[in-house]
Amino acid sequence: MKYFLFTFVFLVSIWALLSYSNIINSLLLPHPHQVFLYIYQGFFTTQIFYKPLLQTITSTLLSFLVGSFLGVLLGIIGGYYKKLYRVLELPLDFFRSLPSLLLIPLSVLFFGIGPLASFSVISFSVFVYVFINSAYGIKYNKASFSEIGKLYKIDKIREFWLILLPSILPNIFAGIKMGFSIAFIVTIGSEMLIGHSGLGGRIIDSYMIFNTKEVFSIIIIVGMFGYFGNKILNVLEKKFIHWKGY
Amino acid sequence: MNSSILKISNLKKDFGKGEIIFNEFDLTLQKKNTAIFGPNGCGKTTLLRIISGLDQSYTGNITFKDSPIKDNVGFGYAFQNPYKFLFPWMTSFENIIFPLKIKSTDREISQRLVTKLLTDFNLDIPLNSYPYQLSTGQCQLLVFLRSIIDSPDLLLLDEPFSNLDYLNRTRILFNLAARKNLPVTIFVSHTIDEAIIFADELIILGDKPAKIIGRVLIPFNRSKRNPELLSSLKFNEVKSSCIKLLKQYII
Ligand SMILES: Nc1ncnc2c1ncn2[C@@H]1O[C@H](COP(=O)(O)OP(=O)(O)OP(=O)(O)O)[C@@H](O)[C@H]1O
Ligand SMILES: [Mg+2]
Repeated sequence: MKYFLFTFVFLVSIWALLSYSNIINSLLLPHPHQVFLYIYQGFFTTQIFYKPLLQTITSTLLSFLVGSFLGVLLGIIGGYYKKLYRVLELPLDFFRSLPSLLLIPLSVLFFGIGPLASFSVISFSVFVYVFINSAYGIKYNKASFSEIGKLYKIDKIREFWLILLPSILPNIFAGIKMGFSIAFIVTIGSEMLIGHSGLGGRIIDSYMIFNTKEVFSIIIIVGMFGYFGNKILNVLEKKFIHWKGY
Repeated sequence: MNSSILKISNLKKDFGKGEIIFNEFDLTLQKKNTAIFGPNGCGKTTLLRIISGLDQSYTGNITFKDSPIKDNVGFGYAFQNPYKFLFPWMTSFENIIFPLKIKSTDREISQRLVTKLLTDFNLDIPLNSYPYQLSTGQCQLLVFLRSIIDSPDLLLLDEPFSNLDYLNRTRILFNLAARKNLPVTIFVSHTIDEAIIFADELIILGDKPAKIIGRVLIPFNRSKRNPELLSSLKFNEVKSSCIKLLKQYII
């Protein structure tokens, strides 16, 4: 926390130095107090940020949840049924290597300009990561853990709940964390590309009219959301997968 | 009658790398407590894994109490590498009672069994800690306690106390040897003293491939063994007869 505060103050000081001394034109680099005021007003007086922020959050979380859920579910099934995994391996590796935003035009052709077009692309990209991680977890599961079960002639259902699932939780969570970052990136990206909704759309609009104060405000808001989203996931991971790295 | 407790005949085993671990290996155990002693890599762990059914890629015949060793035998197994065989997401307590959980044993009964075991062996283990919070010796104790908590038919102990301090280890061994209703036990040991403290018979193995170099009957009444045994003349006689068998291999 001490370091955090220090770095924060340090960065804002550099910004202030560059901006108040006019080393960089304030049209390009607005003054810090202007930006902070703009953010404050954007939430409490003009309220221009509420709607786009809500849109971005909803879109990110919804596709994140749907993609993660399907990813875990099918990942586990895929880990169990090696054949299914082998069939899916090539297309999944292909899509993982593909920057997801590239799929947006195709998705718009299929689903029309609207929330469904971006939702399908975002949740699909989340799905790919979570699926691969979960399936890997089962595929390369530590043999010694299953052997304990085998020694006591454990049944399939108990084996899954007591041994297999906990042993792949670290993998699942690694996928979910990646999935969140992906969901966020692709959400903002697709907002910038289509629909002009959410904070991604808003930043394009403000940049068009050269409203740099708003551009900076949005960068800060979006950054904070991503930062705290990741922080929360890290805290959850520490709590629920306390044995990670063991 | 010449009935055997455990009978292994014509065992063949290799790991597909050219090295043969067991070749036409026969072993018949007639005593309740057997200790197995042999050099690193001679196949002791492999043998226990084969007996327990964890390794099934072998040929040969194994019978337990004259019927094929199969699904109806309940095993306890204290693995040689405790860390690999404890669930890190379970507390000490959960790990110990795992075999009971599989049998849907009432939690209160499990609790009582654990408490009894800990008092029997005079042990103090933090039951609510996770394996990664314990010392190596404590982890090894967890694996050991788990192996006997559900009173198995056949208990396999693979160097179960190698990480314990001398006093703890000796105390537990005497305790275990004299324990009432101790299951049939195969105890792999790297020290002759421990084998003598615990077993009715000591089997000394050689390697490449595994073979029986010698068998020594231990002439002490198990229920009456106590630490005074260690300084007795008789103990040292048995020990030197074991060492005599090993002599040619020591040079
Ligand atoms: N999974 C495996 N793959 C290949 N070779 C193996 C495997 N496990 C064991 N071996 C080989 O089998 C032989 C016997 O191994 P084992 O673990 O049974 O020895 P051990 O008698 O238990 O030795 P130690 O006293 O060191 O525990 C060794 O030479 C080892 O290299
Ligand atoms: Mg071994």
